[in-house]
Amino acid sequence: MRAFKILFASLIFIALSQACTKEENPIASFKGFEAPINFPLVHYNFSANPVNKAGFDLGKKLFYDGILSRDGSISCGSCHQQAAAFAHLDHTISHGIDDKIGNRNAPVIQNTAWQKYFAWDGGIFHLDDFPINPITNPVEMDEKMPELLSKLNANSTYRAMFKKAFNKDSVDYASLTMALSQFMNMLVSNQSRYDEYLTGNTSALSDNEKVGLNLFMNKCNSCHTAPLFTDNKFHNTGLTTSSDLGRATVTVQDSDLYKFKTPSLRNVEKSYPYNHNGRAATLEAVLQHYASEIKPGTTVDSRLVGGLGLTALEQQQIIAFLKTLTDTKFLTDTRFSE
Amino acid sequence: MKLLKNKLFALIITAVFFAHCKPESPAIPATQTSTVAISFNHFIADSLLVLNTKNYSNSIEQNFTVDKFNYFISNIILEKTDGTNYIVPQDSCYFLIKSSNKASQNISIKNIPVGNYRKISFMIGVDSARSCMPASARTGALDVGAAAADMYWTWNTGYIFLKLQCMPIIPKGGDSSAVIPYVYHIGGYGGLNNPTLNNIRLVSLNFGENLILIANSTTAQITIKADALKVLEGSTQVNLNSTPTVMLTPFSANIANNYQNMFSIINIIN
Repeated sequence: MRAFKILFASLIFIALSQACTKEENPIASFKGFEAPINFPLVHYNFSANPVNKAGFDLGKKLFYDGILSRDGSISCGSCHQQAAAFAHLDHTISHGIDDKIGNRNAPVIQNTAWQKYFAWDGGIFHLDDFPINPITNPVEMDEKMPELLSKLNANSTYRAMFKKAFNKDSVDYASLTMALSQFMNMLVSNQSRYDEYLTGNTSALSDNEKVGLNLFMNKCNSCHTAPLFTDNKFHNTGLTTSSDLGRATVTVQDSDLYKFKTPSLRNVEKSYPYNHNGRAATLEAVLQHYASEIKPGTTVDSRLVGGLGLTALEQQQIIAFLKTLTDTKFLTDTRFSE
Repeated sequence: MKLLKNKLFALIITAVFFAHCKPESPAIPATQTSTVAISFNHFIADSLLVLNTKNYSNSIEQNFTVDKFNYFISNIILEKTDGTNYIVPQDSCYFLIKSSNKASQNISIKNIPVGNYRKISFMIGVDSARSCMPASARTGALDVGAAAADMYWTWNTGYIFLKLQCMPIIPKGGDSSAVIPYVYHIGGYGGLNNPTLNNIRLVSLNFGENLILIANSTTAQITIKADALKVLEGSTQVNLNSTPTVMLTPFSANIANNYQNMFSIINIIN
């Protein structure tokens, strides 16, 4: 009798658990999003948009599809190329639709789940709200969101993929952007030689690179904070002032004039050129700037005033270390390739 | 006793199941309710607003036509004569009114408890809490893939609270290619966590002698005038020629202060 009761209770429990489960069986080979153990807590709210195979596949298809642009000519992948850590290889600023020129350098896309702000001025604070920016920008993809949704709704392949990923009969803005977030959030770079060194392989870095690491920690890490190599904040680094007001464009505060988001330095060797406008072609030029070319200005970060006082040798050593942040596995991972 | 325990056990499991899986069932309304219909009627001073074809002038003799006049209304509150409030729930308190879309100018608020009401308050714009929510919580009037597609700043996440776009009147034989349109896009909810512009404005309209008397299953009607000229006049006179474009700049606060006073009640029908 007692056994029967336990059995009965178990059956009820199983039935209820089944009733409560919404997700389909996960595909064994697809692991979804996994946070590296040495990274801080993620910023992205995965409970609102967990990564699943169907959503990731859809996000990847969208990322590489020109359908997102007005005339089909430009995809996200046009200016965000895997070999450059999803920046625009060798472009100071990018050319979008009809070869129109933008006004800022296309940044890398990696470790987005830890990012608090998007775009150089941080005008966007939720990854899901980022894609509408290049999609509707007249010099990038120049599409209207309702028109893009109509194109996707008229496409039976996309309709089926959205149905599978989000169980929606028609494509809406939220699902579109959540699919793109699922793809971008999977772009985790944490397998560089520096990461190998952190896990205890002391021979992963040369002695010269270790000296560079030490210098970096003393001179650069307060803004380019390891392990993500950004503090997620905005700074004026003493570049020549220009018509681009930086962070002040979105906050309308004088105290934010000419401040730009600290870019992560992971894969920095491969994501040239540098700075918000691509003004520095090489890492040597960037280090030279921080060593001795900081321009004065009321909002220039106080830690940079007068330069960082790096010798030519020290600059070379820091660069040697920065190149250990290159994550070849990430840059060639076929899961992310077009 | 054993049987009782069994039943109790099953009951608890059932309760846990329902608590876990079911959305909260709506509470049965304790009081009877009814509906208020609100219509927004667009004017330029004392003339009805006609888009594109009709000529208007402001108080400093500048002539123009109007091609767009859109704004968000949200967070509506109705105040009873006893001082208590009925707050329209979050899931049904956002409205985008467009001068080009007659249907958008007529909104209805359902489930209002019966009673006598003396005041309506609302926000022009979208509150910061909703502005910062993910896209899946910004649907209906706030859907940037549909209704709100042209009322959203993609480069600086947030809604444009009010858009007024006008065109100068070109004299016969004048050069139309040199025309600079007058474009006023006002937004700014105060930012996520940085100090910045907050152009959210609250409006309160007293019903005066004409209380709304909400009885069971009747619909009261409030007819509201929205004077688009007041966007550009009031505490700050906007000179169309010297300030043809205003978006996210400190000056936008002056325009928000102006349009805070653009609404008035035409009449109330119980």
